[in-house]
Amino acid sequence: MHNLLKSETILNVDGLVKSFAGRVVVNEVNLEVPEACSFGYLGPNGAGKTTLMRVILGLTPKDKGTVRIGGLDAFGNRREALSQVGAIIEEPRFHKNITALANLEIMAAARGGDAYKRISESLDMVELLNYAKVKVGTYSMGMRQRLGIAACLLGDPKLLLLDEPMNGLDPAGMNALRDLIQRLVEEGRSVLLSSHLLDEVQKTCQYVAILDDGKVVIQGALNDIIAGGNTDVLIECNDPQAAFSLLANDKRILNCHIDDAGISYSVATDTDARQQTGEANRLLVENQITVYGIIRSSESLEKRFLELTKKLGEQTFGNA
Amino acid sequence: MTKSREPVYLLAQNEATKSQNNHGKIDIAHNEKPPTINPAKRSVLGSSVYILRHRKGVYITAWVLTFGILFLISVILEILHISDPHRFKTLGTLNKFGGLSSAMGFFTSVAGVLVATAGAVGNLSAGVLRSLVATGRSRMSFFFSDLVAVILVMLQMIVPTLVIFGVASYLLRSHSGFSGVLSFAIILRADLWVLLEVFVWTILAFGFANLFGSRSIAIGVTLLGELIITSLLSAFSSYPGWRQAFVGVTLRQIMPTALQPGVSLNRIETGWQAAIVIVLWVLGALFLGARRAMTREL
Repeated sequence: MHNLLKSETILNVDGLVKSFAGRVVVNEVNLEVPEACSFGYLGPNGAGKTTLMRVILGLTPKDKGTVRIGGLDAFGNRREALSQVGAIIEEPRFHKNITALANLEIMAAARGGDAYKRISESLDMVELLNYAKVKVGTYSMGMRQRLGIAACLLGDPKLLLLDEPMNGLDPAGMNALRDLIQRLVEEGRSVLLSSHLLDEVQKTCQYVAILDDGKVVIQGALNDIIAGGNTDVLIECNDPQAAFSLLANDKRILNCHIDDAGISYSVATDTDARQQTGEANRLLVENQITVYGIIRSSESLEKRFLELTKKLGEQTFGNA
Repeated sequence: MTKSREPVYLLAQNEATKSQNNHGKIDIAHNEKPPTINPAKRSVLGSSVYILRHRKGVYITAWVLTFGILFLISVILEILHISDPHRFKTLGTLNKFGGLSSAMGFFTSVAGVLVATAGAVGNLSAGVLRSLVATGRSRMSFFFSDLVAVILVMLQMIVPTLVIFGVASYLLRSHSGFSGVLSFAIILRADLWVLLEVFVWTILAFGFANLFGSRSIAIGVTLLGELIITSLLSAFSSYPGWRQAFVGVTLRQIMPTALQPGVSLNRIETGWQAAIVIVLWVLGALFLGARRAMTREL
C-alpha cells in the first residue's frame, strides 16, 4: 500500500471485496483519501468504480472489508459516518415534477437536523438560486449535475463522492464543475470522483487511484504517479543507424526504434531523461552526426493509466 | 458550511450566454438578483405526503374515483327520484345506500391501489431513493413514512366522502317498503366496512409495489385479486374453507347484512376467522414488501 503524504485521511477502505454472481467486481480494494483534496478514482468501464461507491454508501452489501469515514465505521455506525458524506451515484436524480427547492427540502428532511437551513447557501454555491422555484424537469443536464452537488452540500459534508460527474457535460460545464470542485477542496472538503475521462481527472485531481479488474494497482499523488512512468525521447538526425549504434550501450534506454526521421526510445524517469538526452546530444555531435532536434515528452495520465492497466497497445477505452 | 467564502460565479456565466429554449429547457436570465427563498423544514413523513400530493395525475384520479364518481351517481339518482318518485327511490333508502356503499368500497379501493403504488415506489422509480438512503437514514424509516403517507392521503379523501354521503343519505332517509329504515348505526357499520375494504387493498398494493419494485405490476396483481379472483370465488354457491382464506372473499363476506338485503351468503363462522385472514394478508404483504425494500440493491 502506498502511504499518502498527508497524515489525516477522511476515507479509509481496507480489503473491501464485493462480488456479483461469482464475479469479483471490487477485489481487496485498499484506499486512503486524504482530507481536503480532490481524489480521482480511475478505471475502465466495468472496473468496479460505481460499485465501490455504492458499497461505501450502503446501497449494496459488501462481501468483506472495512470502510471508515472520518474514523467512523461506515457499516457499524452508518448514520453518523454517512452524515459526513454527500454523494452522487451515476447521475443526480430528482423528482422532476416538483421544484428544485422542494427536492432539496426532501433531501434535507432525510438528512435531518438543520440541513434545511443550508438549502439557500447550497443553491447559491452552485449558482442555482435563481432557479430554485423552477421544476427540475425543465433543467438541463448541467443544471441537474449542479443541483446534485447542492444536495450533497446540505449535510455540510467533509467528503463528497461523485460518480462520473463529468458525464453529459459540455466543455463549459466541465470547466465550471472543475472550478467548483477546486472551491470545495479549498473549503476543506475532500472530493472523491470516479471517472474514465483521464484528461479531466488530470486537470482536476491532486491524488489518483488507478483501478484494474476491481483492484487498485496504484494510488498516490498525481504528479508522483505520472513521474513514475517512462519519458519518451525522439532524436531527429541525419544518420539514425549510426546514432543507434552509438547509443546502444546506454543502459538507461528502453525500447529503442529506428525510423526515417531518427531514433526513438524511452527512459525510465524524467530526471534520467533530461541527463540522458544531454549526453546523447553531445555524443552524437562529437561523432559527426547532425542532430536536427530532440523531443522529450513526459507521460500523460492516460499513457500511465494504459501502462498500469496493461491496456497499452489496445484500443483506448471509450464511453459507455 | 465549514468555512466562510465568496459566492462562486461559475456556470451561470457560462450557461447564461446560451439559450436552451430550443430543447424545451428554460432560458437562463442574465444578471438577475438572486431571489430570497425560505426553505421549509419538512419531516420525512411530510416529504412523503408532499411527493404523493404532487403526483397530480394519481391524486386527481384518486379524487375522481373516491368522490367524483359517487357524487355523479348520487346526483343522477336524485334527479331520477325527483322526476319520478314512485319509480325511483331516493338515496336514503337502504337499498340505494347499500349499493352506494358497495360502489364506494370498490372505487375507493381502486383509488387506494393507485395511491399506494405511487407512494411505495415513487422515490425508487424517480431514482431518488438512492440519494435518500445515502444520507445514512434507514430504509425502514422511508418504508414506513411512505406507508403512513399513503394512509393519510387516502384518509384525506375518504373521510370527507364518507361524511358527505353519510349525512346526505341520513337526511334523505326513507322507508323502502321491506328492508327497513336507514339508521345512524347502519351508516357507521357501512362506513367502517368501506374503510376496512379500502385500507386492506391499499396496504396490500403498497406491500406488493415494494416487493416487485414496479407500480404497474403491483396494480395488476392487486386489481387481479380484487376484481377477478374475488368475483370468481364469490360466484360459487358454496364456500369451502380454503376459498375463505382469500382476503377478497373474506372482505365481501363481512359486508354488513343490512347493505345487501336479499343476498344470501354462506357466512364464515366467526369474526375472528375474518380478522385472522385479513391480518395475515396485510402483515404478509407488508413483511414481504419491507424485506425487499431493506435488501434491494440501489
